[in-house]
Amino acid sequence: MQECIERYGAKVWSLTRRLGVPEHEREDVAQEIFMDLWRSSGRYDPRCGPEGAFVIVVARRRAIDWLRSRGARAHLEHPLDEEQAARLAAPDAGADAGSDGARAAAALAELPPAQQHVIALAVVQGLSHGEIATRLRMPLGTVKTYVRRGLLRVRERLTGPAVTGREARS
Amino acid sequence: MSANASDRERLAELAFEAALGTPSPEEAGELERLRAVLGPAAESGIDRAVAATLDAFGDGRDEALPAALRERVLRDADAYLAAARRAGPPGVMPVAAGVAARPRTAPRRRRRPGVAGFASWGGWAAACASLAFAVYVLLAQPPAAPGIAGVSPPVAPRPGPSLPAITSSGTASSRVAESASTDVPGVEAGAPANATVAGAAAPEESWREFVAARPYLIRRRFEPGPDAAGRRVSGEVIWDGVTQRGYMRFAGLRPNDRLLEQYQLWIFDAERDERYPVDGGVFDVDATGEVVIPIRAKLGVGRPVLFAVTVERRGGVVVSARERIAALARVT
Repeated sequence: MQECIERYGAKVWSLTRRLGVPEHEREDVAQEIFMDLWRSSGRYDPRCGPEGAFVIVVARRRAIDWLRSRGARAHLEHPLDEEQAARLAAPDAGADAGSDGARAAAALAELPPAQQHVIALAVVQGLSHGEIATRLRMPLGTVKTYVRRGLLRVRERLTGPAVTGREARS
Repeated sequence: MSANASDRERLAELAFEAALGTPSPEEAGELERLRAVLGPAAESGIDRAVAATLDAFGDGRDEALPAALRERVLRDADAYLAAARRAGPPGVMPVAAGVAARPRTAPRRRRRPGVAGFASWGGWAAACASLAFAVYVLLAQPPAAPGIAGVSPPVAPRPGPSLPAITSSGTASSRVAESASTDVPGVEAGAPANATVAGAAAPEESWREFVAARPYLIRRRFEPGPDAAGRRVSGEVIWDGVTQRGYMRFAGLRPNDRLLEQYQLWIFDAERDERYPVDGGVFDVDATGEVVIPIRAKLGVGRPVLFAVTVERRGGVVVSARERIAALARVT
């Protein structure tokens, strides 16, 4: 467990900030996330993917549940962060181009902006499909399709041959 | 496209929904069925894609865990492990270096009031003098389907698939449960989720030993629900939050017609939306004597507040219509 904390502590802690957990609540939320990880660890199946991804998915869900339970929706009211969109188009030059994040960015950058927006709302901001459809006045089916196809494309990019983001867009 | 490829594509879609936490109960049931057919490899890369997408939109800055928080988390982890050890053989397997040792529950620095439900539980409890009546009032509310956090308008409940496993994590949880040994005599270890342990009365002495070894156990008596099947029921439930295992013991629960219906346990968790209690598995009662039933929770249970047994169609349902409530055990 200590190894888990050492390995993923920074990721989990940073995730609470990125998901919009209020600063004064971040420690409590991070603590709850680790509790949830201990409880959820039996669900992890190495055949489904790397351990780090499992940790992030559990942490994300827990943090979003927490925000929802507190009615903390302020973060949900923000439009897609322009910096986030820009980051897809021009990933950090210092980032490892072969990293999962960079490869996902390359895959997402190929999508129309509207689809990027929908995926960000679903994955980063934790909105349900219904909430996204209402907010964007978009048919629910379109929202679902955007999210699913976008994530499937990311998965294909991750499981396929390594291609850097810049190569993919060139 | 072959049916198999179509199923794999559908499984991937549903697995993404589950990873994002947005599947409806019906989708969760469908996902469970496809998992059973296609196996875990078909879900390969789902979590990785979600995590990578988060990374892609992120700023790439990772902050170190504050030292004080790290200490708190470590203390929690130690307490968790200690509780798990006290519980005896955990019946679970370390899964990987980082997440190994897997305690199941732990004390928290501060309990949160729960997801939309706890406040209503408290108010509900205070307002109702009769347990049976109070729970009936709550359970009689038709559950709203899709919408994890209640953002979607309520719709009429629909019958679910015929599999008792309902949730995205049901398979794994079941696997864990099935790998667990049981300390209760008369309860068959590794029995399937819908096992019946009719007539397997645990000797009182062993039962007491099981309970004595786990001072933190939740132990509550069942009371009759409104349905005639439970009119004469008595018994109790014990629940070990550390190992996520528990047992029910009944007397007087009417034998069910196996061809048509089964009993199904629902665990209401203060940390979950009360419209979606955790499925505790289906079971049969084929004797009027005492029966001991292992609980097969399909999801982790954080803070149980009510154990409710309903009569459902054979195989169980995804979402109970809550029309036939046979027995209830309230924790808080």
